[in-house]
Amino acid sequence: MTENELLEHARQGDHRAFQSLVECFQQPIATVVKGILGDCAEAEDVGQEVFIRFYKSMHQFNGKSTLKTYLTCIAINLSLNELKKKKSFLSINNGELQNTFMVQQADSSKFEDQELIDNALNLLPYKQRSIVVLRLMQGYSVKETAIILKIPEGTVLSRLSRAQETLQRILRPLITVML
Amino acid sequence: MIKKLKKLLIKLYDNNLSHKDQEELPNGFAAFPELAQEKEELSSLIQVLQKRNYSFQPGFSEKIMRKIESVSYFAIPDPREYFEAQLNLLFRWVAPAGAAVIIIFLISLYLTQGSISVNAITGIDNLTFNDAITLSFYNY
Repeated sequence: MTENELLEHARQGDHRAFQSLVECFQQPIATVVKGILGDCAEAEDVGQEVFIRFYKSMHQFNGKSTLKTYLTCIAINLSLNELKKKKSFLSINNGELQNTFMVQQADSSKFEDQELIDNALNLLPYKQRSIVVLRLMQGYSVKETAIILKIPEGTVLSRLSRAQETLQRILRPLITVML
Repeated sequence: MIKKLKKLLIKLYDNNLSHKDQEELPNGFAAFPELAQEKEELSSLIQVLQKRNYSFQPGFSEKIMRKIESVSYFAIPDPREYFEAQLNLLFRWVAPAGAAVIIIFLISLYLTQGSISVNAITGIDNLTFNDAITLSFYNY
């Protein structure tokens, strides 16, 4: 069944069709949510909330965007809300986190690649992080990223440029292996 | 020139290059090696980031289904209940606006007339209840 057929069945109350939709889209949504929030318990909760919100609003989905983009919008909004809730905590601990990371980075062999990527993403301000996740990890175009985040394309490009500089600096060991 | 090439580079990653752009880009890379280097580094960064495969814990979809079923989201909403809910929602917006208008009216009345009595509202002195009834019928 195609995603549109699954959606139609789900709208008529078919549990299995809805579950199939969840299974189809859980990976890209995990990338968005965990890319922004990190691989933590809150990210699992936010991921579940994304699909519950989608369930509640699927009758309003009009097909103007793809289903993946629609779910990504919900995921971005919920993830950024969750980040704002944690913001006060992060602002207190960010300096400490950064110092710890820099010490650990000096011996990057201790880090698995995935941990290095997670930490690099965590060091980005959340506005840049959401752009990196959409543009570089999910492959959305600049225009699509701007629409999803409701910001001008110029802002996407400037934040992306700053984020790239930071990531290229931190992920240098991994990038040079690729080059 | 370099600005134009940077724009082309963005278009390249958007998969939005025209035929003419595709011909122009290699020449640009040849003329500006630093741009070619930038492209390589960006491509590598994208590869590195896309290597990070995030996934939810096993049983994720089952957990969602259990949650949805436990709060009976699957129940098809009754049109009457839906209408009432919408009406309630509308009332929450209309009621404070109406109350605000009434309060503003009473304040302005008090400021202009020095009172908020029935006489001040109707603009007629010494109006009795019977007069008010008679006046309202008189209009018909």
